Amino acid sequence: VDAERGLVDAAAGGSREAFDELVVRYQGQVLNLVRAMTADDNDAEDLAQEAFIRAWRSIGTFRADSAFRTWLFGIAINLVRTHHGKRSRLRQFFRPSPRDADGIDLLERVPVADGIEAPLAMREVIDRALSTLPEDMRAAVVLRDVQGLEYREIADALGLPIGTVESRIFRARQRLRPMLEAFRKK
Amino acid sequence: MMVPMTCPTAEPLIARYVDDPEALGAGERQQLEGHLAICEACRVVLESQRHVARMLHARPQLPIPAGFSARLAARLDAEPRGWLGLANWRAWTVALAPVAGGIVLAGWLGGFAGTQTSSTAGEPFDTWIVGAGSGAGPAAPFLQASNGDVLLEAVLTGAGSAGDVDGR
Repeated sequence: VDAERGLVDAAAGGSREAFDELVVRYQGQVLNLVRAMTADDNDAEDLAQEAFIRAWRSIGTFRADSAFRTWLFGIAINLVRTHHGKRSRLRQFFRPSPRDADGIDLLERVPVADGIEAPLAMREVIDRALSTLPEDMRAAVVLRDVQGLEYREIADALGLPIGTVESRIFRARQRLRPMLEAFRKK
Repeated sequence: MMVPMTCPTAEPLIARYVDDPEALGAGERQQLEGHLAICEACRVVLESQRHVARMLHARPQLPIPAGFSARLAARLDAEPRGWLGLANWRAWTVALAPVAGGIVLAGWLGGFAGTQTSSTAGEPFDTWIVGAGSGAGPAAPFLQASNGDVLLEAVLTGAGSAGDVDGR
């Protein structure tokens, strides 16, 4: 943590080398966060890059009272929200089918195969199931169960009371259960 | 005596209990465990929460695309820093906020001191107007003008001296 604090301080002072080190540490996590939030590989790369650009621009304003990754994930989540807002009209034409709620459609669309393809199929199913959630629930459950943040960190990243975070995670998991249950049985 | 927990109260706590039972306070955990012992529906919910959490934890990570770092580095290189960073208004407005605050405070204190000085000098407004006859201030000729013609002439000629007006 102290080593990271040193990197963050150096980056805030203008050191690109320090910021590049932070990128190396967090690029995988940020990429997976936005992929789980968008269910789209191309959007994920663009948004992950944009999150780091925004972080570099504003790292001088980063306050030490939260962890760097919490702050960085907050930037990424906000970018995803803005991105979804821009696409909201388009999404009306591509709403997930109601049958997604029981997981059947999801499984029919994604080929589940043995070997190297299986992890890809599993990720695809999970991300599609996540995409059926309302955005506020999705952000909370992704930060907890995909990214492994503590409840306090999630509350900081989303600017919410911890009780609200608990409630959103609970409701998100309840909605996901039938879709992921079906995947397991397959 | 401990109040029994209801299902709606228990449910949000179940999510956290699944992740880390120790994260709940001792009293809260004891209440929840007491409720789970007698409520089959909540035990089913607990199990389904565990299952979903396990599935999401096991979600295969997306590999970092080839060239991701290089493309990001190129974009970061194009970002202005140093003096060029002044184009980043957020950076310099934050940096200059204390300076701006100091200027506002100094201005306020200066204004307050000026008000105090004039009020203690015992120089009422009408005294200043009377004194205008001896060129006490630029507004004096207009304030002393007795009719519209004189006022108009004073404006047109610039009313350079109080004597011009006084002479009429």
